Amino acid sequence: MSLVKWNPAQDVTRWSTEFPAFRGLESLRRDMNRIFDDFFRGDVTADESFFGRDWTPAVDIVETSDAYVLKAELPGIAKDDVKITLENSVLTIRGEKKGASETNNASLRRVERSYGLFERSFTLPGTVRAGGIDAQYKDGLLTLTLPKAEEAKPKVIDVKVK
Amino acid sequence: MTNETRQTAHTLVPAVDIIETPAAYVVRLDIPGAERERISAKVEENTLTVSAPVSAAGEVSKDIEPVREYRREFSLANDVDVQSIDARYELGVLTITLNKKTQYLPKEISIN
Repeated sequence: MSLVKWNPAQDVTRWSTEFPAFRGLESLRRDMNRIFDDFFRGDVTADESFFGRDWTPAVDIVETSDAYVLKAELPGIAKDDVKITLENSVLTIRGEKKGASETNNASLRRVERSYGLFERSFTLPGTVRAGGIDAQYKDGLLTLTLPKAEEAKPKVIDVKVK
Repeated sequence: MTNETRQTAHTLVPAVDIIETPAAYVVRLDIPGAERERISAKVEENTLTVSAPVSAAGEVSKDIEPVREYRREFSLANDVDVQSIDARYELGVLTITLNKKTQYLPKEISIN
């Protein structure tokens, strides 16, 4: 027997995996953490609701010479359940991942995958050509290609050596 | 003593849901970005191994060999009928249905 310091966050995590009724607490805890994280990073946006988001899809962003390529992992989400908007240079991906249908007579042995609403926003640099944004969805992966404006592409200048 | 491991820094452990119904176990793995033809699922000595290579984070072109791999192993219970395992891939989710052997299925016993 050993004394272990009580960690309320851990308890909430345990309850939420054992009792579905407590699952809301876990998402509340994550939201609270996020509020403080965001506060210290200073990027809370006014239109972001505190409780409207249950999970965050993983995103990779790659910059090439003529575009930014954003890949978001959205496994199990139908194309029609994803909405992409661009407003005032803020690109937002939002949607909902619906839970498994077979709950009758079935017991959950393990639940690691995330369900519920998600939303992620990115402030685009002014160099992105908004009209040329392309979105592709395949095998649970959303790929957005954000082309750079002509003037933002790296230029090669020939220097004449005399 | 050797510490043999097949995991590399590029092994991704997919999140999984496991549901048990009276007749089967249903395993769902998130493997976004994996291509159907490259997914492998096999059973060897009561261990189910699922693996699938994916392009690395930065790869925009598909010409470069994938360097990341999803991989996860499951020990199967004795009641799983390894002869009737079904796998489906849709929207980046692999769903494996492991049917139970008939002798383990729930039976209704009538009272005479």
